[in-house]
Amino acid sequence: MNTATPDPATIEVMRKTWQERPPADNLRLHDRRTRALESFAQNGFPTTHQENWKYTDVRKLAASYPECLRTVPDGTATPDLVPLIDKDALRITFIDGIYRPDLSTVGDLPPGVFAGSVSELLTAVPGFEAHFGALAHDSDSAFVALNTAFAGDALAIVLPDNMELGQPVYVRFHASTPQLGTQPRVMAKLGANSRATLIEHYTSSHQAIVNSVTEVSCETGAALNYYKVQEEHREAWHTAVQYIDLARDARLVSMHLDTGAGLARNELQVRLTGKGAAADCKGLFMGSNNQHVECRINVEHAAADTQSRERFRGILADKACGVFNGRIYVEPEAQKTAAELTNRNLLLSKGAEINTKPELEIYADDVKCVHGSTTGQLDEQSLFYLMSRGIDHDEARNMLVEAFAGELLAGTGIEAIKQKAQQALRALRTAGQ
Amino acid sequence: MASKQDNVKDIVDRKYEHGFFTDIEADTVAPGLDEEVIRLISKKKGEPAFMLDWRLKAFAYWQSMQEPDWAKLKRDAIDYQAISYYSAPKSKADAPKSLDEVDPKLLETYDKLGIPLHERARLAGVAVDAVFDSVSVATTFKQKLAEAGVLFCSFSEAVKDHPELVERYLGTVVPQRDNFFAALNSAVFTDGSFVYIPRGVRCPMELSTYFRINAANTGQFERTLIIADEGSYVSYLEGCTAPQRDENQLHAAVVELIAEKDAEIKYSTVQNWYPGDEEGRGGIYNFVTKRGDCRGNRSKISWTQVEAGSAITWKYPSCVLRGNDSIGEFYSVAVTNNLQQADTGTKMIHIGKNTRSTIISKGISAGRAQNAYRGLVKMFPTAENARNYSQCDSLLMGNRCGAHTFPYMEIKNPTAKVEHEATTSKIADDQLFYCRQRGLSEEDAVNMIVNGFCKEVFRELPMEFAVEAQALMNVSLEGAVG
Repeated sequence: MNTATPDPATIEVMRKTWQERPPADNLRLHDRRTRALESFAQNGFPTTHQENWKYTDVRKLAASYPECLRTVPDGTATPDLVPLIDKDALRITFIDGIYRPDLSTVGDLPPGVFAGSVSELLTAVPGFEAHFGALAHDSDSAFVALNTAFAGDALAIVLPDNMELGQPVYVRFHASTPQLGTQPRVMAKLGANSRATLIEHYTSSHQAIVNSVTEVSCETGAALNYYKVQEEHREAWHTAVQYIDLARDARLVSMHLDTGAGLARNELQVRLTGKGAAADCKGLFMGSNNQHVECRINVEHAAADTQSRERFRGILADKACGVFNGRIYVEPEAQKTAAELTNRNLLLSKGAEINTKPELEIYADDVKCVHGSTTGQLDEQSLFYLMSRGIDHDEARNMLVEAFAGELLAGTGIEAIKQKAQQALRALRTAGQ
Repeated sequence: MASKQDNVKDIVDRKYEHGFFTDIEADTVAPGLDEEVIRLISKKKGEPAFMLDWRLKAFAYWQSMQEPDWAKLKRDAIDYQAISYYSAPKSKADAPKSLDEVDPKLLETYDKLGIPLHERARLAGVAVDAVFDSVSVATTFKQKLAEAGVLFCSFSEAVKDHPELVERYLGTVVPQRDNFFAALNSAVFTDGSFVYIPRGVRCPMELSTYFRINAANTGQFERTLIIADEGSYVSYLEGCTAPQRDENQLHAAVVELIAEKDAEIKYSTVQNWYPGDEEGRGGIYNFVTKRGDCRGNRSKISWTQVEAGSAITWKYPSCVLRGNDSIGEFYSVAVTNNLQQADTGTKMIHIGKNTRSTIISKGISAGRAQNAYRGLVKMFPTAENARNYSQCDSLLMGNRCGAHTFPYMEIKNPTAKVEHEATTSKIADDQLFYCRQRGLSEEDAVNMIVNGFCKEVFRELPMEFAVEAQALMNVSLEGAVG
């Protein structure tokens, strides 16, 4: 049998690690963290017998967890990082889970806007701690609970009503200490009719555990462009969940790019709580060698006249294993919902594997919900067509792989992300041959 | 003092709380399940030793298993010790004596379905001694099959007359430990159908449980085994469109199909067990394990089902595509109304090269019903050039029902191609308007649209069945719109 729940002794070790850390100054924050720790202690790590973890075995990750949590980060490391975006952006850098003002360029922010560490924000805006762990429930998974319990300094972004932030907020989370367990946490609150672009970029230089949670609430009419690029070290474990709540007429446009980590699992949880809210989510995940990449999206339509579109593609080479799970959930009140979910996967080599499950769960009748999924290899006829025009086999193959991803990348607002994806594709193509 | 007397009176008047019938006749086993009961069932049926061993093994597995809870179903717990696992045909004494005693609502339904008068009596469970012409029909029918060499009999007969075939094939598709309900069925099944089509024979007629003598009381744990030997063909029909009276709440049937090289089996089901009343009281729990094994190269198994009855349907007719170039098909219409719940779908397991499968599933949900499609398409690394196409459409009628789709796809071969499409919507106002504009009543318009929605599945049904299925659809959804 597969029981990944750590034994009581291991839980005790983790609890001790938690107690040794400096407690949060804020009492409510401290309470929230204590609850999360207790939730984890009770439920432990998920097993493949649980529906949401059916295809992702976390036993090895779970075994390394207690030790990685004990690893003390080297607080002064200043790795030479190439930023994804270096111009016209608010740059915020976390190294080994520690906010580094010396590597960040926030500059002068418009009045009312805040971007920085939560502890800093709490002195200026008391009460903000109520948002911590409001969308992310401990019962969602062990990793969410662990993040809430162990998250160090979280990043907070606050936009007042009617504020349009011209520059994107670019956040870099880098793990440089080997065998480190970090728990990046982002909290954002977009006021009514405000606009912002948020880019999260994850990298690591060694084997490490990165377990992130992002909570964003968008008030009436707010618009968020969200991008996440994950290119961790090939031996790293990356687990992440983003919770995004959209109030009336709020808009979300998102793009996820997953290319790194030995085991990666990203989960996007979108909740359309206000009438007329809309989400357009895209994602591209790739794997080669023995990578295991899981990509999940769950969109809950909780109000009438909401719309969503989810498009996700996976490309897998060598012995890589991909998992896709998409769900559209329509509550009884969410009449006139329109939702569309598509997942397409490309298997480039023998031994590559994909497990996909696009779900619809619908409790309202006046809806139009569609989902589709296809999996296959490159089309022989297309290959033949290109080759008949004098293009050699490898080049033709590359062109088709690039076209497969290109359909999804077209229209991505941030040029640097497109380039990142193309770079990763080139690496993948050589791997798949 | 008075109150004390009242208490006594209450106790005296109290109905038998445990709800089951204790009027034990010679041939009924008391409720409860243990090894003794299984020995008794096996003995009463005069089974050879291998059958008893097989049953006991299944029972041992069952005891170590847990009831599955992953399906999207809400139901009360089942008390397996409160069920009587063996009873001879129900005593005629408590059945209605004539059609006059039958629930008029039921008769009305028969009328709408266009069921012949003499059939109604049989379906309603009226105690009649001879069912009209059926004996003679069955005799000519048996003769014809015998000429072709086809074996078609009840499972008990097969165990007695052809033990070598039963021993060779039983449980090879659905093993005893397959799942909780299959294990239970394996331990206690009382009867069912057995079909063997010899090499190269095309079965001269459609086989149907309906014609089989003795079919009336196969009981709640039915077991069907169909073997199509090399190059043979058979089409088998199960159930009928008319609502059937049944006292058993739990049904746990197992159906095993085996298609050898170049053989083809077409299995059609129309299920219309009692769905419970409008408030969801009563109704059958239908937990069925159906699986076909395309053992030989170029074999084919095709499932067609129309699921209209039962309070709960839990059923996933599957195909194991082992032989190269073998084909699996699944066509399904599941209708739920009132408080019915259905969690149904299929599994297509591609193992052989160039295997192909098609899944067409149509779910219709009305009232406060929940209708879920749950399916698995699995491509083994050996399934070179395998192909699957799935389409699942759901139609919602009313804003208190639910329609869900859970398709699992596990692909381990890059040359395999898997496609899945699903849609969920209601009957569009413009479609209704178009029909109404041409003078159709709202009800006719809805029936027409629903039948159009189900057409891809209905056309797979044998002719007479298809006509009945359409009528059934109309009756099942009565009152769902408007």
